[in-house]
This record gives sequence, C-alpha cells and structure tokens, in this order.
Amino acid sequence: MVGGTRRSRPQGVCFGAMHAALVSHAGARRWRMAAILLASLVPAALELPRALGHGSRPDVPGMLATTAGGLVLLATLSVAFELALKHRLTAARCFAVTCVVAIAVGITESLVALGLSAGFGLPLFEPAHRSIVVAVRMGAANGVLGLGLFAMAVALPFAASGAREAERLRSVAELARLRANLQPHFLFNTLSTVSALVGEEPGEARRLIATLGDLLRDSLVETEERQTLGAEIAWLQSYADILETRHRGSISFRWEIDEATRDVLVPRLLLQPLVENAVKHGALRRLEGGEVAIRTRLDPGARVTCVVEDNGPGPQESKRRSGALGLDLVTRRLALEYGGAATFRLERDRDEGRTRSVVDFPAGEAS
Amino acid sequence: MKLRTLVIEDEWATRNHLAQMLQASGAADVVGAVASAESARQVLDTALADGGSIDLALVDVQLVGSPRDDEGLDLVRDYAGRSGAPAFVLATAFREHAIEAFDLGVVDYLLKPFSEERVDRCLARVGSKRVPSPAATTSPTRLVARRKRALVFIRLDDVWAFESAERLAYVHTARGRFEIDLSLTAIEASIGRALMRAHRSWLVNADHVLELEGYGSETELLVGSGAGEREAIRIPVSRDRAQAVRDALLAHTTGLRPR
Repeated sequence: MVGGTRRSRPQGVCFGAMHAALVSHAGARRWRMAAILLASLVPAALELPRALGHGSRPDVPGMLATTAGGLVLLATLSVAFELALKHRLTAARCFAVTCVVAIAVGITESLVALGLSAGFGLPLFEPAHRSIVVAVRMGAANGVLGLGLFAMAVALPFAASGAREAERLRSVAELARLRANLQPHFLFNTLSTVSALVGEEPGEARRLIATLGDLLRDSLVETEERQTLGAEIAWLQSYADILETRHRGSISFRWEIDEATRDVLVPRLLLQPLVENAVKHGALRRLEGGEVAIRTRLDPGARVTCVVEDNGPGPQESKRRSGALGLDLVTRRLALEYGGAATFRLERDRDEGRTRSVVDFPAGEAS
Repeated sequence: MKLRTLVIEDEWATRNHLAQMLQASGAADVVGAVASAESARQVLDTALADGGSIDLALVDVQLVGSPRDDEGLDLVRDYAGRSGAPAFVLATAFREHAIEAFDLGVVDYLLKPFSEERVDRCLARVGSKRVPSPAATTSPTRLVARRKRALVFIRLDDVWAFESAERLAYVHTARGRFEIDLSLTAIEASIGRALMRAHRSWLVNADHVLELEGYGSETELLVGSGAGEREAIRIPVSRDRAQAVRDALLAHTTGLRPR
C-alpha cells in the first residue's frame, strides 16, 4: 500500500525529501554525503560497459581504485567548497579554488597510482602508460571530471537551494522591517493611550504624539536597509518611551551605550524584536514591575556586542511560541547580513534572575 | 436598569478612559476594572457564584503578562455561555479573531482607539440583547479591589474613601486598605460618583464621616465606623474645598444651627 502510493507519486516524494533535507543543516550534510558517494561510483560505472564491450572481464580492483580515488577527490572538494563559502569568496574565486584543488588532487592521486604500480606491481596503470607525463595528464583530466561531477551532484543543488533560501531570507528581512514599522497592536494601543490622556494629561498626550511621529517617520520614510547603531538606539529609546508611558509604573529602561559603537552600521531595527520580547515576556510579567537594560560594547577584535536584559520570571515553555517569531527573525537577519560571523543567543541567569538576549557581530563588516 | 460592567484592560490610561466613557454614556455602571486575566477570572468566578452580578465584561484581547497573545479570547471561551455569565464585548486593535469570537457569542467589538459614539452604540446593542438574570435586581452592586494577588469585594455602602496613588488608587474600608486599578479621576467618574471630593487625592463617602475638625486654616475629616478592626482614618480637606465639604455634610443634618 505504502509502496504503491510512493510509486504513483515519485516526483512529489523525491522533491519533498530533497527539500526537507536541504532545509535542515544536518539533513543537508547527510544529503551531500549521499550525493558524493553516488557521484564517486560514476567513473567506475562508465568503465563497466567499455570493459564488457571488449569482451574482457570487468577489472574489479581497477574499478575499486577508481571509486576510492573519486571518493577522496569529491570529499576534498566538498571540504574546499565549504571553506570557500565560509570565507565568503566570490563565485569566480570559489570556482578557481575548487579547480586548483580538483586538478591538484587528481594529479596527486594519479602519481600515487603510478608509484604503486611501478613499485609494487599493482595493476593500476597499464604498462604502456607508465610515465610521469601521462600520469599528470590523466590525473588532471580525472580532476576536471571529478569537478564536473561535484558541481552537478553537490554545488548545483546547493546553489539552487541557496538562492531560494536567500530570497526567502530577504523577504523575511523585509517583513521584519514592515513588522516593526507598523506593528498594528503597538500602533493602535498607543493611539488608545493618547486618546485616553487627552482629557487628563494633555501635555503628556502631545508628547506621546510627537514621539510616535518620530517612530513612524523613521520606520515609514527611511528605506535604507542599514543604519548606525546610534540611530537604532535613538529609535529604541523613543519606542521604550512610549512603552514606559503606556505601562507607567510597571516598567523602566536602563541604557548603557558604549560611545565607540554608535557609528557601527547595523540592519535597521535589528534589536526591536529583542526589546519587545524583553518587555512583553519579561519585565511586564513581574507583578511588582520590571526593568529592561540595553547595553552595547565594542570588544577587542572589532566585534560589537548588544545585550537586552530583563528581570522577568524567565522563559516559559508555553510562551516561547509567541516570542519565538521575533527571535527567529533576529537569527535570520544576522545570518543574511553576516553569514556565520554573527551570533545570537538567549540565556537565563538563574542566580540573578535575569534573561539576556546577546547579539554579537563584527563592526562595520555588514555586507 | 444600567449594565453592571467589568473592564478588563491591561493598559492604565485606556482602562481609566474606558471606565469614564462607559459611565458617561448613562447606560452602564462600572463595578470593577482589572488589569490581568488572572484577576478577571476571580471576579467572573465570583459573579457567576452570585448568580450573575455582572451584566457586561469588556475584554482586551491582548493582556500583557499573560503567557499567550490572545488571553482575552481564552477568557471569553471559558466563561461565555455559562449560566450567569455576562455579555462579552472585545476591545482590540482590529477584528483579528472576529469569526471565532462571534461563534463564542461575543456581542460586539470595540476597536481601539474608542470613540464615545461607538461606546454608546455598543452599550445599546448589549442592552437590547440582554436577558435579565434572576440576580439582577436582588444582589447589590459590589466593587472589586485587590490586596496583592487576592481580590476583595466591597459593597459600595461600606466604602469610607478612595485615595489616589501613583497610577492606581486605594479604597479604604473597615476591613483595611485595598488597591483599585483605576485612577481617582476615573473612580470619581464611575464607581465613586456618589462620593465627595474633599481633596486632590481623596474622595470621601459622606455617610461614614464621623467628625469634621478645623484647626485654623487646616480642616480634617475623621472617617470610619468607629468600631471594628480599623476604627477610623484622618483625611485632609483642601482649603478651597473646605466650605463645600462642610455645606454638603451639614445639608442633611439637624441639631446644629447654621453659622
């Protein structure tokens, strides 16, 4: 029954499996290993019909050696490719690096095979071909063949899924910006407070309108994807000011901003979800009122650390759902802007009863 | 008969404003205003036990401090349709849960920010759909106050005075002093409308005034029952209100010749 279902919709299953494998990191790695294994069988498989056509028996030790050589070549290429990605090389450089690695490994393997054939009489090289020039030429050709196989089996699907993922991340980042711009609950609840204050505290109402105006101006009019951390902090201070008015007596903010971090460029409103999370799920959950502290500092090695800390009762399993989306956005935007060079973590200090979101990224290296 | 109304809203300014607008409409009597779902549940449990002593509950969908983003809707889900339950009206930023809410029997939506006209229309709609509960005419209106996490129910007649604090107010009774999640101005406009403003931060129940004392230009009231756990409290009277307070207290008395 299950088999029948699977046969009737092979493409759907295949695409589904591949997609799922590419989505998770561990899954992607497993999928890549399987592709390498399969690809390394190809040269030996190509050899098979030729040997059969000649009427001779297939050369099993030779095919095994070819497969082993292919496996080493592809594995090395995979490592080189991953390193190239990690160092964020351009496509051209990435290609050059993998080319050089492929040819070098191909030639090395060929020379090793030549040495083994000459020294130990292993049947890896036909006697007629046992010369260094031929071995180098064949090795180089093997390397190029290996590179082609690697490109088709690993790099191509990776690039396709990478492009999809990048596009998705871009739209997520765009969403994040829009979300912080006009988070409807924030806007309408603030308007409601303004409306309530008009009668009893008109001065406070006017001040709130002006602050809300600043927030909207910055988030509706500004289109730059990045701004300085100083501008980000100023925006957050207006945002915090409004929250402080709306929850008067229940929440307070503390700012410890390292002056050296003010000119660093950051993705616009990167920290907003962290502040929102600390307020909503942290400080405001304290019956007697809570505090949110925002700290930035420039570390040696030109890294910026931003900390958003609250003294609320700490994360609960049930509340993670509503807060998770905002935190997920931060992780994704950091990955999009800094590759692997930025980190984000949420930690709970039980002794001090504080919850901390820590973002850490290289100063001035946003690409 | 006015709708005995409970306001459930986490933001203080909106809570006060809503209480004042509801009272100003003439169609509702605000009997309580609470800031959290937890307090709301305690009040509603008591109201159900009383056989339906609350006619209308105005619920904010998002209540901060709750584990979920739509705790207000959970509240409606748990109480709507139960015997003695009030009519529910959602107060929210937009109609995000409209279909489910109307399935649950929510009578109306108040969209933030509120206008007086909209609040009036809402009350008219609730009034037209209301089936009077058996307890409607018998149980006296009680107000809800807080001592830490416990809720305290107080008959309006037992209130000595309201005192304003930073963002809320205290109610003084023979049983002690409790917090109320409304500003003094909102209380004066709703729950405490029958009371007398003796001072910028005091509303006094004339029925419980025991003594009026004048020391030169300073005037003080002694308010209390004169017996019980707490005998009485002293309340200052502002200079500009002293004469009005004096006149109001003497208006229904005999035995003292007017000076």
